[in-house]
Amino acid sequence: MIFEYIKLSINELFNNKLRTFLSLIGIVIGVAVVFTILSINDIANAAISSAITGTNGTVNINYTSDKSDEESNLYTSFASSFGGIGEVNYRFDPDDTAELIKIDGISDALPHYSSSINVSLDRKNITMNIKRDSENFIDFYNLELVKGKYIRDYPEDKRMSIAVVSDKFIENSMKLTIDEALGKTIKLNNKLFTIVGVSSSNNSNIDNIILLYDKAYDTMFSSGSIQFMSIKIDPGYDLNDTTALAVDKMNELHNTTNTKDGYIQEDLSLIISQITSVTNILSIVMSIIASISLLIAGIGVMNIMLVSVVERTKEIGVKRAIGASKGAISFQFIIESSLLTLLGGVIGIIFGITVIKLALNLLDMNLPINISYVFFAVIFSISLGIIFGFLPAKRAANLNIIEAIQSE
Amino acid sequence: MSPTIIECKNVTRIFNPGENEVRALAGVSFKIEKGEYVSIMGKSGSGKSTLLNTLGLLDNLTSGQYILNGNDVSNYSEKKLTKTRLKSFGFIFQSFNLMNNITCLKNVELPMLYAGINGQERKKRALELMDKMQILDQANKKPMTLSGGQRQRVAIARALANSPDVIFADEPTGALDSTTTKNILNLLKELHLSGNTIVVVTHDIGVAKSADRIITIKDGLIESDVMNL
Repeated sequence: MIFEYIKLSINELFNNKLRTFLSLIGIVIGVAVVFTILSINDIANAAISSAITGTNGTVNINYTSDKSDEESNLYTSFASSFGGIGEVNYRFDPDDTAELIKIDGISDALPHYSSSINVSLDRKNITMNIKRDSENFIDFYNLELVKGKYIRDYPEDKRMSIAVVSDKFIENSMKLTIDEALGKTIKLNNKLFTIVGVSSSNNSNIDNIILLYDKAYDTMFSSGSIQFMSIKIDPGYDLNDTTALAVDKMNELHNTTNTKDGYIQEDLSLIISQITSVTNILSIVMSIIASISLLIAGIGVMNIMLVSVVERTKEIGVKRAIGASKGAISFQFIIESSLLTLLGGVIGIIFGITVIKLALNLLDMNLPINISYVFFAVIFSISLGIIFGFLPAKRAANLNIIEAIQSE
Repeated sequence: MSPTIIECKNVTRIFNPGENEVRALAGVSFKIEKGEYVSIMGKSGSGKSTLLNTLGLLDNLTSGQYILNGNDVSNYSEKKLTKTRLKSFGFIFQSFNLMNNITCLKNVELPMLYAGINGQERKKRALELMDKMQILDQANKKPMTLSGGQRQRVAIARALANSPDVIFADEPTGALDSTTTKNILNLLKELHLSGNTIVVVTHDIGVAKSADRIITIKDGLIESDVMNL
């Protein structure tokens, strides 16, 4: 029975293609934005959780010129996460590791060498951070080798001109597949390196890298390029407490306990709060856009349905005369407006999914579309049709039958 | 004697009560028995259309009693009126009043849809009726592609859909040429002979004469009520 009413409504909407299309636009925009808002929070949460889990028990200790200033600490944290841009004066000693390992709960420590350099690819030059390999590098980060071999699998004399690169670098910068990249050469400071292995990691320290043998790295860059000190905390030990001990030790070793400058824990919570505050603002702005466009769209739908009632007055009168109840007439109009908004909603969801997919691509994230949001958006658009179709439907049902039949 | 289907007792319908009141029906009393073929004749403004609207429960009467199948329907609620129109009446209009953007078949099915009859049964009965009206081959066409006579046949099929007690026809041939008029009047005659109660409202004496009984209305009153056998 309902199916028959739906068929009649589809018929009606098809008879007025242009009008249907025009009334859809607002709904499409509104629902697309609502859908995007819902998904953005998911993306933010995924970004945060990947930032946390990616570290896998490793914590970075940064050097800052003002350890009491949160803002500059945040900057230092950001700067180090994204490869140490800016005037940060690094003060780390490779021998610090020996002292740090002595601390209870710290299983390993690794000075994180990193230097920016121009990398010549086929057609373009890009700036990359080159990392320095060491005996414990692979174990420290649980670095996964997805293809090829590791630098130290080669004999000493071969190691000077080979590199391991990350899958991200291959896909994003070289625009190659992992299979294609193996054996290719890249030019660093006019010196050629052959790619012998491809690594993969979720840890933001090493997810996008070119890794060179330590001696090769040292001939290219002067010492003192330790960006931060990474420590690995044993499972079972408190991350923050243990890190605090390490920070104290570093301050003690470098005599900065009573100075303004010194060492700090890279604070993920600051980064996280930064991410959430951005997404919160984004959500508020988009909510406003969505509300306005949905309100206007809803009024538009109501207006079009009212016009439709006037145009179909005679039809309504005849239907009432041959026995259609008031309920049947208003049901017909409600179905029609709901179908209209549902159609807009579905197109909106498709737009929303496209936007989210594009955003995920840009962020290099992979997140499945949440089906419950699709479901919510569908229900939401149908409700919109019911709410804004109510008044026109009521008007249609309450028409005077005789006047309606006599109208032209 | 057949049972009485329609009985009007001193029915009045007054528009704009007060100074400029129009007494469209000024006190009308008559009975129609089951199986009768009655025409209500009168000039425009005589009150015949108001009488049809009142009998068809499209309009409320101002005073008097309207007894349908033994029930006083004068004070029926909106819901009951709608249900009575749906189950007991079939309407045929001068300008056919078909839904132009659905097929003829769907038009005939419409009253059955409102009566809550399921799709298969609707289609079966609609096709039977269209076959009876000799328009089966037009079933899947839209009304606008049909001739006037064919469209009126679709409308008659629609009026018969819920097996009504009374068929009301308002100038059923008003929009048709003389040949087609003859065909449609023959069709109504056949329906009458197969047991249907038919009430035709017309200003055309030729149309009125095809009925067995002619009630003439003038100034809201019955002027004459004669058998035409």
